[in-house]
Amino acid sequence: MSTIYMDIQNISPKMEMFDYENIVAKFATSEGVKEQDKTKYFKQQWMPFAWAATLGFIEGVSKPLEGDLKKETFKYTTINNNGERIFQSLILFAVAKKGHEILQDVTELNKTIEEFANGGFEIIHGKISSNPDYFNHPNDYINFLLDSLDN
Amino acid sequence: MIIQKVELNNFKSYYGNQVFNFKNGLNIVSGKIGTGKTSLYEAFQWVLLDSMSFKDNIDEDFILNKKFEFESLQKNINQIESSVTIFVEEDSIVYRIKKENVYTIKNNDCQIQEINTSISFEEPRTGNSKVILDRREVESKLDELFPEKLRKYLLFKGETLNQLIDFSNPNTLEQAVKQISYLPLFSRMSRIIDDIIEKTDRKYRNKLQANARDQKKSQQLNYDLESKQRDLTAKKDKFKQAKIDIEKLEEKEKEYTEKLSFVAGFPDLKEEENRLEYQRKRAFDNLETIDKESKQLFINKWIIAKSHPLLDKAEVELRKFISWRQNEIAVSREQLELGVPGDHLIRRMVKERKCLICGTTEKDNPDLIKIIETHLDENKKVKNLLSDEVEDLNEKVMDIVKNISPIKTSTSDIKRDLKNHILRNKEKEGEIASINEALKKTKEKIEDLIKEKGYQILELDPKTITSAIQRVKGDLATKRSQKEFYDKQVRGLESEIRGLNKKFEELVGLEEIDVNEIPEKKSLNYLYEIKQIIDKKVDIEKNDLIEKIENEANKIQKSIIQQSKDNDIIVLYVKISKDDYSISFVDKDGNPNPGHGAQETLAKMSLISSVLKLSNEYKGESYPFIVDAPTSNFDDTITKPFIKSVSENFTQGLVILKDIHLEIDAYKNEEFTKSIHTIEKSSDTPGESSIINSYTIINPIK
Repeated sequence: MSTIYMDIQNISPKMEMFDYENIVAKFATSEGVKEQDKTKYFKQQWMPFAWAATLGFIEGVSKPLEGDLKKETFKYTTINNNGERIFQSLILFAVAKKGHEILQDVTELNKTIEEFANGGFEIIHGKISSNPDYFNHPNDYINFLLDSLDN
Repeated sequence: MIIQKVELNNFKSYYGNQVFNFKNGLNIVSGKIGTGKTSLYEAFQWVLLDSMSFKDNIDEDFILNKKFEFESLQKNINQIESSVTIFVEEDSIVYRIKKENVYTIKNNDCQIQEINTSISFEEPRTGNSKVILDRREVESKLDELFPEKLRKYLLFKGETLNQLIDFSNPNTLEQAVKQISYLPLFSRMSRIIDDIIEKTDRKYRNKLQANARDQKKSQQLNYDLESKQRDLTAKKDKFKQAKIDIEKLEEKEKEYTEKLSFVAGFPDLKEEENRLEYQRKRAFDNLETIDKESKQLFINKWIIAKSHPLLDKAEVELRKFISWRQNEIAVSREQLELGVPGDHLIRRMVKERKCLICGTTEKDNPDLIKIIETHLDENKKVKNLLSDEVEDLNEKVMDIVKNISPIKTSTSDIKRDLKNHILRNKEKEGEIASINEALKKTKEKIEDLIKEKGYQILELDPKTITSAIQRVKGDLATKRSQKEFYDKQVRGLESEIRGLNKKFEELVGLEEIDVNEIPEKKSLNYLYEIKQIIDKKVDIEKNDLIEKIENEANKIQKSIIQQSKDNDIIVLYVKISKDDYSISFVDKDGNPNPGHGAQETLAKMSLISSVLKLSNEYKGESYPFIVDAPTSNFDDTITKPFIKSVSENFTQGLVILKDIHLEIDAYKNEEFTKSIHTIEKSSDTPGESSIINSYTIINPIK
């Protein structure tokens, strides 16, 4: 008998190196740095990933991973430990998209989350490419959310 | 005597050689804050009072024009100068009073090498040029031109007015009166007479003793008198010492008060700056807390704001599985009921350890019960027949489906949360913007004050000065009571001595000798008579002078107020006590009136004008009157009449005023203004002003 958490906890989601360098590393304090870099909105690297994944799921944008990949990232246990509700949501979103059977295939589950995160990263890139200063101010993230809620 | 012109050569904000030409009558110099008004005043102060402010050594560093210093450093010049020359005309002779600082530049550092003061002029008889360089000779000539005792009244800043005439310290007016009258001379004469009386009296007593009938008694009396005289001299010395100490302490008090008035407003501004910086820090801290909270909420809650449709879909998906499984279980149970004994029968078989259908016991087949038990769940009910895989999935489904409802509940108000956050953020940012604005204004005021008064303002601590004033005041109170005590003792001893003298004369007896025929007694009588005349003259002179000062000051005040455009200003008159020089206000009917700040300032200015005017008449001289910012405390309606009064009361007045550009034409057209200069700051690089690229420009307007 096992829970989905037990199955997935030691898996690290992968992401494209381009997304890691241009979004994750840019918006979040590097792993292992104790003090948060005040110029960065997120204090841990799993956060922009979770944000992108949620965005991908909600907007229904999924994209297979291509090119150079960042393999050594955080594990799902980090997401669960720091943001249990987000972790639960990601699993539920995957179920919504792929059906309950996905709970039996943890590899597929991880792949689904990775691909929707990849889709989310693409949405964020779109925003940045139209305005490079977007997300320079903390309120930009909130305004971005409000915009999507108003739409 | 008039000041013809002043040449400023790389002095403070005046770059290169710049000249103010003045005329007989009223001269005005006007400009905005930080343009060089105070520098002009300080030029006079530097030459005539030999000091710029309180810390001469520091101020000397600020004399050299910084733009000139910077350029000289760049050009590697070895020696440079900064100087002020005042051209004074008296009895058709023009005296050039020049003070200069000579600097040497070594290793990119500018150091004062020497400070020189000289007075040059042309001898009227010979026509030869003469230059006075010896310090004592310079001082003596300077004293002829600008009597040292009068200088502080001839040249002062509006803000230091209180040191010259202070309503709470009558001694200030007494000092002013002493400076302009012959009273100190009379006091000196009185002291000399006292000295002669003492000596003559001793001789007279010796003669009396020689003629005394009772030698023993007269010897005793003489001895007593000598002893009392010695005591009197000692007490008089102590009285004098107390007086000297009081004067010194009063000087100290004046110096500290001057320092305190110099820093006036600065500590409040610094405190305001600190308070605003603290408020800004707190507002930033609050903003940071809001930001931290928002980041936490963003990642844990807000990013799933639009997830309800997905969650609903996930729930449908999971419930579909749950329903399917339940259905499977039901089907399995139904199938069980057809061929397999029910729960009740199986529980009995397990309990009785035998098959109730075929009668086989545990003895016959030891594994029978174990086999039956594997088909029962923990409630001893027959298990369904679904696969382990399905049951494993069920565990996972059940584990996550329970999260849906709490997630949905917690995210139901996100839009409102986000809007509230934005609002809180904007409010805080607005608060910071208004603090920044206030801080900017306060910093500008501080900068203006530093520009106006120099960097030494940063070094003066008002708390230390205030406590020094308190200490001086305490010492003053002690010394004043000591002075009073010795004064009483002196008067007591003098009366005792008079009594003893009388007894002494009685001892001699009129039969043997006529005391009035003794030459010393005759001298003494004349001396007492002279002393009485002097004392009377002093009283008359003092009362007369006080009356004149009072009348003149009131005349000046009345004329100023009557010329003011504001008809609501009540004319108050100053009343000076002839006993102790204390000053008070009375209305036109002579009733006491407390007055108010601006009225007090006007009264003080009128008193000084009156003192100087009387001094001019009294000593047959006329001196220029130089004042910086005299009207800063005045209502605009009084400013002009006051300036006019300066023109009426002084042969020459140099008044340095705050910006009057709005009324410049009005001033220009006035008959009483003889010259007007405006000054402004110019910069080598427009729009960018720093100490090394900006300098004062003089514009002669009239």
